[in-house]
Amino acid sequence: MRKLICYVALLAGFVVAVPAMAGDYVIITNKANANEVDKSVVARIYKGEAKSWANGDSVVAYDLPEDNPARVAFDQDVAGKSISQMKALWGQLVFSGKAVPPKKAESDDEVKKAVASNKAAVGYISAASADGSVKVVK
Amino acid sequence: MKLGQIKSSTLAGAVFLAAGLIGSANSCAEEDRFTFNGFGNQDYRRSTANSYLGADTSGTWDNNFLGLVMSGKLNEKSRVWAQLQATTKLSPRFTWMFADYQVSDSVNVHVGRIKFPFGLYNETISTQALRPSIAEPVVYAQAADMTYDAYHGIGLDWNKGMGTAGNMLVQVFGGNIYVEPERKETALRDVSVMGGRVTYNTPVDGLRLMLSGNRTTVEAMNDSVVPSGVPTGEKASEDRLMLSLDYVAHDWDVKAEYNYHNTPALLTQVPPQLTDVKSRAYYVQVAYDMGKYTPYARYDYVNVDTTLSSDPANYQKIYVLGIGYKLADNVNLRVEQHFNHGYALGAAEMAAISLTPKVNWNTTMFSANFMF
Repeated sequence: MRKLICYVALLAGFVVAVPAMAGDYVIITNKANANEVDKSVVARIYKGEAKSWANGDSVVAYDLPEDNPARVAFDQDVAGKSISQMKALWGQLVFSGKAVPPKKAESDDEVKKAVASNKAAVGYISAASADGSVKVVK
Repeated sequence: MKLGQIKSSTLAGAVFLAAGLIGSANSCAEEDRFTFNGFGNQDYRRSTANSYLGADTSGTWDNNFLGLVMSGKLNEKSRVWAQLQATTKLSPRFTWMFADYQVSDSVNVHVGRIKFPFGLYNETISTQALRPSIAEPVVYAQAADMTYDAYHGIGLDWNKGMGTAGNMLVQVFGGNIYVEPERKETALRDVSVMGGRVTYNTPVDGLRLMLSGNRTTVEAMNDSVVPSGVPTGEKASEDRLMLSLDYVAHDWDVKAEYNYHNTPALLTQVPPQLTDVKSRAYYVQVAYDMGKYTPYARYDYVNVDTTLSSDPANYQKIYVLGIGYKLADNVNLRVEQHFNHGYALGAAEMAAISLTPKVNWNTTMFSANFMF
C-alpha cells in the first residue's frame, strides 16, 4: 500500500499546468468554393468525420507543421485537442483504414498556393499571411 | 522466447517492414494515391509471481509488434487498405485488408478482412503508440475472450452530422470471424457474426459515447470436448456488448468501458457444464498530456464467471500506474506498474500458474514504441 501511495504521489507531481502556446490563424478556402463553410464544417473535416464538401467534391485539407503556432491554435480552437491528441486521432483513423490524413505543408505560403489552385482545398494559415488569393472563412 | 530465437520468417517480415520504414521517409506519394504508415513496439515484462503474457519472475522481451499500413487510391470513391504485421510470436501476415467504397459523403461500404468495430480500441489494438498505456485494458485481453480481432465480410459506415447536436456514426457488419491459423480451435468453428457500433460525438468538445455489440454463431465440431449430450454440429450464439465513454480534450484523456459477454453452455469446455457463463469487465483510465510526459492511471476489473465472482481464479483487479516519455516526435518510452489482485487472466490463458498461485502479485513493464 505504501508503494502505491508513493506512485500516486510521484504521478501527481508531474501534473502541473503547462502554458498553452498562442497563435492567430485564419481558415482559408479557394475563392471559387461555393459551399457553405464554417468552423464546424472545418472541424468535421480535420477530425476525419467528413471527406466531401456539400457539393460532393472530395475535400483536400492541408496541415502546417506541428511546431507552427497557427497549427497549435487551430487544433485547440477548432478541434478542441492538443497536437498529440490530434495525432492520436488521425493515428486511429489511419491505422484502422478509415481515412487519409491532411496533406502536410511546410509554410503559410505553401498552404495558400495549394488552396488558391484547388477548388476543393481547405487550410489554415497565420492571420497575418492572409491575402486576396484565397477566401477567408468567417 | 529469447531474442536470439526469432524465426527466419519473422525476420524476413521485419526486414520488409524496415524497408517500408526507410522507404516511407522518402515516400512523396503522388497526391494521396499511395500511402504508407507504420508502427511498432518492443516491451519488457516481468511479474513477481503468476505468469501472464509470457511474463514471469525472470521477465520476457517476447511482446512486440511491427505493422505497416498501406493504402492505394483506386479512384475518387474507392481505396484499398491493408496492414502487414510481424511479431516474434507469429509469422508475418496481413492483419486486415479490405476495399472501401464511398457511396456518398456520409456512407462508406467496405469488403474484405476487416477489424471489428468494437469499443474504443479494437480496431487499433495492435498500435500501442495510440494508447497511453503499454498493456491494453483487460476488456481487450485475448484471455478475457471479450473481443474478436477481425471478420471476413462486409461493413457499412453511416456518418451523420447533426449540427450543434454533434455527430453520429453508425456501423453495421456481417460475415465470418477471421481466426489466425495458430489460434484455430479443433472443437469449435465460428460460423457467422453480425453486429454493429453506434458512436455519438457529443456537442461537448472531445466527448463521445459508444455502444457496440455483436452476435457470433458457433458450431461444435468435436463432441469429446463439449458438454455431454451436445452432438457435433450443434450451434449456439454468443453475445458481446460494450458501453464506452471517451473524453479527449484540454490535455486530458479519460476513457471508461464496460463489457458484457454471454457464453452459451455449448462453448464452455473446461469443465463442461450445461448452463451459460456470463462474464463482465470494465475499466476507467485517466491520462494527462504534459507535452514530454504523459502520466496515466487505470483501474481494471474482469470477472470471467459472474456466478463465481469471489474466486480469485475467476476475477482479476488491476491498479495500473505508468508514465510515458516522448523521446522524439513519433517515439515514446513508457514504464508501467500493475498491482494485481486475483489471477483470472493467467488462468484463462492457461499460462503457467504455479500450483499455489498468488492472489496479490505485481507486473512491471517497459516499452519503446513508434509510429510514422
